[in-house]
Amino acid sequence: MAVPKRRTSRSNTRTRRSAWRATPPTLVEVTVDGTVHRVPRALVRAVQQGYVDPATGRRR
Amino acid sequence: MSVTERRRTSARRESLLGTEPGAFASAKFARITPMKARRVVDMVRGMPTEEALALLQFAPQAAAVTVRKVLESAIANAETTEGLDADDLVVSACLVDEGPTMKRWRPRAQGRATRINKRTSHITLVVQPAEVVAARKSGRKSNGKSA
Repeated sequence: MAVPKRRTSRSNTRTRRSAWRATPPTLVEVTVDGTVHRVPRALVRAVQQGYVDPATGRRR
Repeated sequence: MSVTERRRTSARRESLLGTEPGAFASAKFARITPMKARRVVDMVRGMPTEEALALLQFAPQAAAVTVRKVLESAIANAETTEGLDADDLVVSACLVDEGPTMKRWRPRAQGRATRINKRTSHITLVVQPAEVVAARKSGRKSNGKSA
C-alpha cells in the first residue's frame, strides 16, 4: 500500500480543498406537454420519448 | 396563498437578513460532511432559485438531495410567510456550518483502532428577491468607487 512519505503542509491542504469544485451539469431546455423543463443533454431523447420524468430525472 | 402574519423576528433571521425582504431555511444535523455539502452549495450561490432547483435535481453529488430540500423549504417560506413571488427569487446566501461529529472506531491490525469521524452539517440557504440582491451589489460597487 502506498504510504505518504512527508506530511502535507497546511497551505497545500487548504489549497487542494479550496480547488475541489464540482462542475455543474449543463442543462438544456426541453418542452414536454407545453411546460419547459431543464434536463441534461444526455437525457433529452429519453425525456422526449417518455422514458424519463423531466421533473425528477427518474425512470418512468 | 395566504400570508401568515409575523409576530416576532428570530435572532437568526435578524443576522441573516436584517430588515431586507427574503426568507431562509436550514437543515440541522444533516448527515453530510460539511466539505461535501459546501462543494454543492458553492454551485448554487447567487443563482436564480428555479435554475438552482434544476441544477440540484441533476447534480450527481449525494449532498444535492439535502440541499435541494432546504432550498425548496426556503422558497416555500418566502411564499407563505413573506408573501414573495417565487419566480424572481435568488439564492443570496448559503452557509454550511459544522454540526457535532459522531465518533466511530475501526479495528486495525496489531490490535490498534482508528477513529472514523461521522460528520454532520447545518445547512442554511437564504433566498431574496432578485432586485434586492442586485441593488445591494450595485450599492456596494458605487461605494467602492467613491472610497
